[in-house]
Amino acid sequence: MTQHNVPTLAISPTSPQPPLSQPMEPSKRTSARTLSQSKPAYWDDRVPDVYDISGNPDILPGRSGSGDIELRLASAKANLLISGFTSLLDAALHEALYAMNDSSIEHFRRFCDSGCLVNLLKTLHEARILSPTVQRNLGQLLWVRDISDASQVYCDDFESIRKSSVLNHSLAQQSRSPSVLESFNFGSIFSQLQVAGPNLMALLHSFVSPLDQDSSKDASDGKRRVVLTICALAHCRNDKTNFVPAMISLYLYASGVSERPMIMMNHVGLGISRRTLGRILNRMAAHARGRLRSLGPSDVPVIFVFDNLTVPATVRYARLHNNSEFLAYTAGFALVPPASRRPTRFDRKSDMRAERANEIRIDDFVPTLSDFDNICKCFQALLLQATRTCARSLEVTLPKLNDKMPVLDPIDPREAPKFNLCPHTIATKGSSTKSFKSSIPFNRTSGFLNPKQKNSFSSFVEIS
Amino acid sequence: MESGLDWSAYVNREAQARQSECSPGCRLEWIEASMGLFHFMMAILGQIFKNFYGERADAWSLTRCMEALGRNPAKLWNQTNQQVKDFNMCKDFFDIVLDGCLVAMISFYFAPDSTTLANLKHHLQVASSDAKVLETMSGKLTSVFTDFHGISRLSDHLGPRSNDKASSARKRTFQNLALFVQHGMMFRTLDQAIREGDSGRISMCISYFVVWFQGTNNHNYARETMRLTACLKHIWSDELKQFWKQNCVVNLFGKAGGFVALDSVNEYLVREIKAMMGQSVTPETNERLRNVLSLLVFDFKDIKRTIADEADAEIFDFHSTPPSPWHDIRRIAPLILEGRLLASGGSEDSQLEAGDAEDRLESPPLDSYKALDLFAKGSAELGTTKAIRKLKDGIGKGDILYGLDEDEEINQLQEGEQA
Repeated sequence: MTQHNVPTLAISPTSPQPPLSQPMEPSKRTSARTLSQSKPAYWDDRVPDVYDISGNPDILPGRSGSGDIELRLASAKANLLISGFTSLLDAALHEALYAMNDSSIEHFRRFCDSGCLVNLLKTLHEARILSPTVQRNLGQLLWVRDISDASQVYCDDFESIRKSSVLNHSLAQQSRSPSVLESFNFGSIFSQLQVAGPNLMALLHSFVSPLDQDSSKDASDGKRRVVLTICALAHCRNDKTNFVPAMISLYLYASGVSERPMIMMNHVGLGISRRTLGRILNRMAAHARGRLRSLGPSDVPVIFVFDNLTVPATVRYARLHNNSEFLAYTAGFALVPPASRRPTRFDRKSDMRAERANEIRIDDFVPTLSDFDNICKCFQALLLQATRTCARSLEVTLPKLNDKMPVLDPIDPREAPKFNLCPHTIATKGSSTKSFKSSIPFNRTSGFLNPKQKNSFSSFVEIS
Repeated sequence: MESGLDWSAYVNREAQARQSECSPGCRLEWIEASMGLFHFMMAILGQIFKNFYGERADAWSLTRCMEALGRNPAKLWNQTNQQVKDFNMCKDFFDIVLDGCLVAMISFYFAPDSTTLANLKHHLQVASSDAKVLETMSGKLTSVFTDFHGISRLSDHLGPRSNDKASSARKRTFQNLALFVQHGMMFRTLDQAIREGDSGRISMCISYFVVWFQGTNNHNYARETMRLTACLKHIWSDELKQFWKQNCVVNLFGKAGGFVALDSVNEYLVREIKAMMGQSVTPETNERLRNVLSLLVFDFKDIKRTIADEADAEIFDFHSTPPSPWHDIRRIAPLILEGRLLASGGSEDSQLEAGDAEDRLESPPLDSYKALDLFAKGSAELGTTKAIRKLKDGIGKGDILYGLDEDEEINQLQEGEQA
């Protein structure tokens, strides 16, 4: 056998099955000999001809060049079906995802979509190069046998997409955490869906691809629409596949959209039902309460902030049991500073040094000389800022002025603290202790104001 | 712990005092109360409005400025309770008035005889060739307004030469204006320090405001600012001081200039919860609002922002360009220039003196009120050391209320609840 130049082939370490071709990165290239030793299940040794990336015929070493072509085709077809592929095209598309770069995939798809494959078979038939039987078998092997097979390809893709984890984050079952919110990314969802069902995603994506190649339209816009379409269809098949519709409904609810538009959104598949939304909100609230409780036993210094919440509850027609009155509440939150801006813990004896009260003198309440110097600089900066504003309005260009305030002890703005909201409570008049107790929903040591009420967190806040 | 209204911080301490006889676990000893800076700013702005409110007939008063700008005083200031009605609206108005004063000062510096802003552009164009001219100008004007003990003496020194009744009124008018600018610049310094998240500058401003409040009827803030100052200088450990300094303001989005006071964040929370209240308040809706929805306000904010970002919908950080205040500023500055309010005062520098300009013009209306010099009055009040002794005794004995009379306590609580 004539020894051909062995084409260099690539293998991706993450591919579930080795690729057929495509040298992507030099460091990952491997020879055809190596590749033939780790052949996939559907790789038929008796099929002599393979093609390198340039389309040139090549023969892998160790393969025979003879045999009954019909037998080989039937065998290849059986292997394909055993491997879970409906056609060679399906297998090739699958391989292409792992083995080829974007432009190669695109060329391959165009070749199939343009009808070139059908024309090729027709030409071969007319030229009597292939017998009708061989041509039929090859056509069946290469192309889907009928339209039901085509739909089967896409149905299989849709099923795997529908069951993918990215569409099945259950907000009602698992509490909302930042990671869930961070995972909501249309680009990332699109990529994961592409892996789950490449053919269907490619088909849908082709609908939103700009006809004009030079179009500057944002590609992410098309991906968003594909994801929304898939999500609406998946939600139609299974109500529990509702991650994206749930996020959209949450967005609408948070934006104050009333109930009726949300029912409509639910019925068109882009939202969830009111009841499911209620369950999600309850779950999120339970998670928020859990976060708040966890602050109690920890030694983390927490800053509570609270304020009155007074609102008039007006009625149009007053009745005996329906009067206008002011509702008085207390609303607040617990702020956990970032780790860099808090010590591990405080101790009242060592951090609150009441014995040093004797050192307090009147001088402590009078601005120091450095305070005076700084306030002079601040005033000067304010005057220069006013001058600049004035000049800008009068269209006069001023030279560079030192109109910045002095920087004394700046706080780093990059690290954001965490907010833990407290359930807002009914303010109790006449007893500031009770009002205060109800504002602070937990005891520092146990995490609960009343340890017996661990399971009814809200009950103690209604002290009257 | 920070609390919103001035009485709330006191309520915390009162709660601690009442719990002090309970079992150790219930004494609330893990709490240290502190005031919120947003409400502190509201109190300062309220003092400024109260001090310079005046009347329409006055040469310089906030009422006159409201009239000049066509604002409805009833929407800005509650004369009965002596409180601002809407903080944001009042602050916008205050900013315009202060800018108008500063522009008038700048115009007066360059052209003491001018009664309009017509030549200001020309003077700025001339001065723009040399930054030193402008810096000298700002330095000289600063020296006038940072003389915290001497604005009254300054007006005596540079005021009208005759000692008749009219000249005394003119000195008073100038003093009112100069005090407004001084107090206004102090307030603006604190506002910028909070926005830029500079706790050093905030502490510096508090060291002035602690003196201010001693001379006012706002006893709660007088006491709270004193206590905070004492804690920062003596009582708190270095770690606790640093903890307060690093967390007295918060930046929600990591932007420069995006810091807000903690109680200002709570105002957002209150606003959002109010917006979620249904029209019909029943026990069920009330329960759901308090125990479910109010816990999720910040989650809702995150969700809205995330999804809007994902959809490339620039609905956040989409600030419309505010209208230029220059139109309003141009109406405030002439009040000062045409009234020759600066001509009766000025600085020791000859460039600020108006000479005999006022003799050539008709007499403008004069102020019927005399604004308080909050720093001078506060210093005098502080000098009695009564408040300091109370504070020392209270902290030294571990008395959380530090010697506040029971009657006074009840009265202040009632005042707070009414507020």
